[in-house]
Amino acid sequence: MFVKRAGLLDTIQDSGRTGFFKYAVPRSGFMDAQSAKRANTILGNDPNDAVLEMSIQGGIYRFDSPTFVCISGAPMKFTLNGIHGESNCVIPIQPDDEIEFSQASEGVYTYLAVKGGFRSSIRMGSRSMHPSLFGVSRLKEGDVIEYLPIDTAPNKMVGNTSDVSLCSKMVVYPGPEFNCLKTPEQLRDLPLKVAGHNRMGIRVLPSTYLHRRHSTIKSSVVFPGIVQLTPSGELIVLHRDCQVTGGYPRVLLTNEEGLNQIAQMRQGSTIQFELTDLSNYLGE
Amino acid sequence: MGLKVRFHRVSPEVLSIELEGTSAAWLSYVAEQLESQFSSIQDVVFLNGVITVFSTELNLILSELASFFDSMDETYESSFRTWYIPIWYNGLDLQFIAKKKGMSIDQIKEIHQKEEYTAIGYGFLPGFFYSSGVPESLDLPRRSSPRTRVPAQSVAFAAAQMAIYPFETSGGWNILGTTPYQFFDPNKNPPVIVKAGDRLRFYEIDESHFKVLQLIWETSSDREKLLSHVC
Repeated sequence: MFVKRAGLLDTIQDSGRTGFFKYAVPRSGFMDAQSAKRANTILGNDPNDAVLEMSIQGGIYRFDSPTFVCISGAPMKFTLNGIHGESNCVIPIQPDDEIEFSQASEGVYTYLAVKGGFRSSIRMGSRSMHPSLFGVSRLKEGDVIEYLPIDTAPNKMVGNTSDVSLCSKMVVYPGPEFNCLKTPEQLRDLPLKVAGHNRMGIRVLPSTYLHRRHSTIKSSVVFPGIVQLTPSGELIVLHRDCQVTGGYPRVLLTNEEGLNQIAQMRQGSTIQFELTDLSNYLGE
Repeated sequence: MGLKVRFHRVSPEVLSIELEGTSAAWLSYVAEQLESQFSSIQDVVFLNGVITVFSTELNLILSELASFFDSMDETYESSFRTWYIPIWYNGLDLQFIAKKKGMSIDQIKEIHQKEEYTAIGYGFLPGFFYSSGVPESLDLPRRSSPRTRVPAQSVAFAAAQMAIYPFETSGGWNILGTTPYQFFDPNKNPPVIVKAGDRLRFYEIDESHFKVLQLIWETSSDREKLLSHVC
C-alpha cells in the first residue's frame, strides 16, 4: 500500500508488545482495540493483525496488488476511486485502486484492515509503531506498507455492522492511591472535559477541583488504564504508549472497554466516570 | 526463612508485591526468576522495593506465586558486571553545575569519575536506566524548567540519580556530557546490556576519541567487551 498523502497521524498498529516493560518499552497497540479487531474480524483475519490507524483526518492510499479491506472505528467518509464507500464491510481492491479519506465526523481513531494484515517490520515482537523503536512517529507520504496479494474473497463476507460506541460514561475503579482523593464521592455525576489527547494518555479536566490528600508518592509502576491525578488537579488516563513508571498518585483505574471508549473521545467532549468497586473488576 | 511480602492486587491482570528493604540487585534477580519459572507471566517490572507482575492468567498462578515468595530469601547468585562508560564532558549544564557547587569544571569531572554507580532499574523511556551513587558533593535537584531538547546519549543526574538518555527528548536533569555508546538497540534481543545491580564507572574522553569510539560501537559485534574496560 502506497501512502499518496498521509493523514494527520497515521501509524501501523497491532495488539502491541509484551515482555519489554522491564526495559521501559511501552505496550503500544490499537488505541481503540474493539474497532481495530472488528475490522480484522470482518475480513476473517486474526483480530490482532496489523492495521492502519488513522486519527481525525485520513489520507490517500493506493493499493498495488489485489486484496480486501475493511474500514471501522470513528466514522470517516471515504471514496474508492472516487465512489463513496461503506465502513464495516468487506471491500474488494484491484491493483491501482485508491482510497481517499476525509475527516472523521465524530470520534478519533479509524482503522483500515487489509486481508491477512499488514506485513510491516517487526520490532520487539510487534509491528506497532513507536518513535523510540522505529525512529519515526507516523507514516509519511511515499511510504509503502507491504501486504500479501490475495484475490479470493474472505469466507466471512457479512460483517458485524455495529459502529464505534461513543459512550459518554466510563467505568473506573479505585486505583492503588485512591485515598489521595479526599472526597471520592465528588466523582459521582461530575462532568469531566477531555482536555488533551495523544497515544500516551488522555488528559481529563474535572469541572470542580478534586480535593486531594497531601501525600508524597514514590515513583511507581503504571500501565494503560491507570488514571493519575496531577498536582494541578487534572486526571490523566494513561493509554497504549504510556511510560512504565510515573510519579503521580494512581487514584483510579479503568478497564479495556474504558480505554477503547476514551480513545474515541475528542478534545472538548465531556464524559462521566462511573466509580465501581474493584471487586466487580476482579470478579470476586 | 521467608521474606516480609505484601501482595496487592491492582487489576485482574496486575499484581504488585511489596518487599521491604530489598536492594535493586536482588529485585532484579527475583524478577528474572519469576520470568523463567512462570511462563504465563507477560511482564515483570520492579521499582522502589515493589515487583509488579502482569499476567492474563493471574488467578491461576496466585497461590504458586505466594509459595514462590515464601521460599525466597535474600541470597542470590551474583552475576553483576562492572561497565566502563566513556564520557565527553561537553554537557550543556557543566558550567551551571560547577558554579552551583562552587567548584571548577575539572573538580566536577574528577568527582564524577571517582564514584562507582549502581544501575537500579529502567523507566521513563525505552532503555532509560536509573543509577544510584551520586555523591552529595555533586548532587543537584532537577532543573527548575526542563530543557525541551536533551541530546541523545547525554549523561545527566538529578536528585541523587545518574542516567543516560537513550534518545533526544525533553528532560530536566543536569547534563554533564555525552557518551558515544548507544545503550538501547531495538533490533537486538535483549535490547539492552546494563541490568539492575550492575556497576558503572565513567572515564573522560575528548571529542576526537568520542568520534572514534562512536564508530567502533556502531560496527562492533561485541559491545559487552567494549564496555568491560577503558577503551
